[in-house]
Amino acid sequence: MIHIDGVSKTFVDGDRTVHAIQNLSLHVKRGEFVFVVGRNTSGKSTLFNLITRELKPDDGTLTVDGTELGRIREKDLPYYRRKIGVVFQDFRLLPNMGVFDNVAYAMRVIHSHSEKEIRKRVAYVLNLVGLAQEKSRASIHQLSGGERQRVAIARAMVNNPKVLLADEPTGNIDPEMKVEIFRLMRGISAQQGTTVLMVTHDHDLVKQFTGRVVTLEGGKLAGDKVYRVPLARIPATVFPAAAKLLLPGDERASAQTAGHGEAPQSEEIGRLNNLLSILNNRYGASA
Amino acid sequence: MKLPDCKKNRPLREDTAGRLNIGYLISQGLKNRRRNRSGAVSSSAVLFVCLLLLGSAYLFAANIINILDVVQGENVIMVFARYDASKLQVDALGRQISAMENVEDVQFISKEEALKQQLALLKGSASAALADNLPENPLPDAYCVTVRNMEAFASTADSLKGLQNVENIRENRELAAQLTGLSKTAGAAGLGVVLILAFGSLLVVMNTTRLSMQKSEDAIKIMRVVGSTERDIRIPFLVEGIANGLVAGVLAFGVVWGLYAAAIAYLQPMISVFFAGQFLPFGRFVLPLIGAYLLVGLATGVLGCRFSVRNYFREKGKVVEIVP
Repeated sequence: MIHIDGVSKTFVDGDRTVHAIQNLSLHVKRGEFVFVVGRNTSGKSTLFNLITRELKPDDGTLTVDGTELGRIREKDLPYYRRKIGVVFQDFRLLPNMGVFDNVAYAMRVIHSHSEKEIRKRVAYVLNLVGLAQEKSRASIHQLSGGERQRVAIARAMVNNPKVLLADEPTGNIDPEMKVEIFRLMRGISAQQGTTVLMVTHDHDLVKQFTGRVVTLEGGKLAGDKVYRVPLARIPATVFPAAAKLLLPGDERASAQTAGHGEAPQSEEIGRLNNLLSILNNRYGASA
Repeated sequence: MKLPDCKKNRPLREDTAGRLNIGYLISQGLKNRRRNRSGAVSSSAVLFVCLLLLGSAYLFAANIINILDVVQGENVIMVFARYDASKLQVDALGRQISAMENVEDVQFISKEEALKQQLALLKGSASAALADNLPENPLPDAYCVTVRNMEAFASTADSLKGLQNVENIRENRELAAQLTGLSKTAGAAGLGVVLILAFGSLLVVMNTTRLSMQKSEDAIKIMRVVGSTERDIRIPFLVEGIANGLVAGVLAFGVVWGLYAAAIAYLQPMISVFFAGQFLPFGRFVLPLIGAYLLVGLATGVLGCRFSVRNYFREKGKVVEIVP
């Protein structure tokens, strides 16, 4: 679905040259759910802007659903973007519209669907994100942060995108709602077959889920792992090396700084893989 | 609004990629206009003044041309032949006048006919007394000459005066010159004012559109993210600009109509005394005015919106801030 091959992107800011993305290669399958983690300036924003084709790569090729973004014509960009749904950290809902109109807006401004079709589709996506039918008449101001983000997800899903990009979707949400939103997005990926890329800083939350975690550092790929066991379930005191190995890059660094031991050596990796299979058997594969 | 209890994923039609939901985009434009009320009012007001002046200048010029026509029709040049000119010489003079370039029409008035006309103007007894006591007809043969182009009135009159066997001529070149000058000045001044105001209106419409775009910035971002084309994004603002232009046009049409009716009521007697002419009826201006107002309203709306949207996208670039 998403094929990134040797992509680089450099920005020149006065005398300073910033290598936002350096020779990045990444492949995401159709329907896959991927966490993208990394610090500020790690290149997450640039990666998102490259996928939405707000930016053009300097080198390499980036293909999404068969469309090579380096070659796409400007006039075809809007049609390409209809394949992508975007969820923002700050929701970006239109305050002068209610829940229904916010979701329907994304349909109305690009298609000539009948109102009947729009009503059916909006009802479906609101149901999909777990918003009760009564909420469809509510004003945006009457909703909690979690509910607003559900509306934003519904809006991103209403045009049936092939890829869903979510930027810190839990950034402005109460802690108890975060897991719900994560589960919702995982569910959407599994149920709708939508490829989901979710950027987050929230490692504690990521640890509660299985799946693929891509780590970016300084514009480079620092890690790309598939967790079969939620990290939170691994007793770190019993298996410190395994835990560190499975941690995303920046957290591994902080763990080392805190004196929890050195990063595992190559000979340890085989042993740790054995431990992983034991953990898989013991704790299962789902969150 | 009651939503259907829909738990089934219904596939979306894929064949709508190039089709516009034009009705929705128009309604968004009208909503934008309501939200941006102060901008809409100022934009319509400046455009209204422009259209009012445009209409007034047009009506003024049309009436001046009409009066000139009347004056041209009545203010003919009378060419009097010499008293001692023979009939052959007078006929030759008539042919010479007819052959002149700027002469539209020539009518011969014999001295007998002229005397008859003058006597007819007098009361019965005075007329009879005068006719009885005149030793001979004091009036010369004459030609009543209508000029084709009023601007060449003076040179035509001078040429006529210079012809052989011409005693003198009678004309009203000052009035003709004044009316021609007035018409030209009014036309030039009107055009200048209208051009300046049209430019000002364009700037105001651009500014209003820009203001409206800033107020709708979130909506524009969402439109771009979900895949709206620039054309789709432009339509609501285009509708807003056109609506402002149409409001100004309708108001200006009404006010011009009212002012014209008032002008007819107050100025018609004076016009009748001086020029034996009349104000043209407003009915004959309705279609040209409506056409011109529609055109100016649409043009300022379309151009103002186009420039403003282009500048907006140039400033903002193509980038949508997905990650703040």
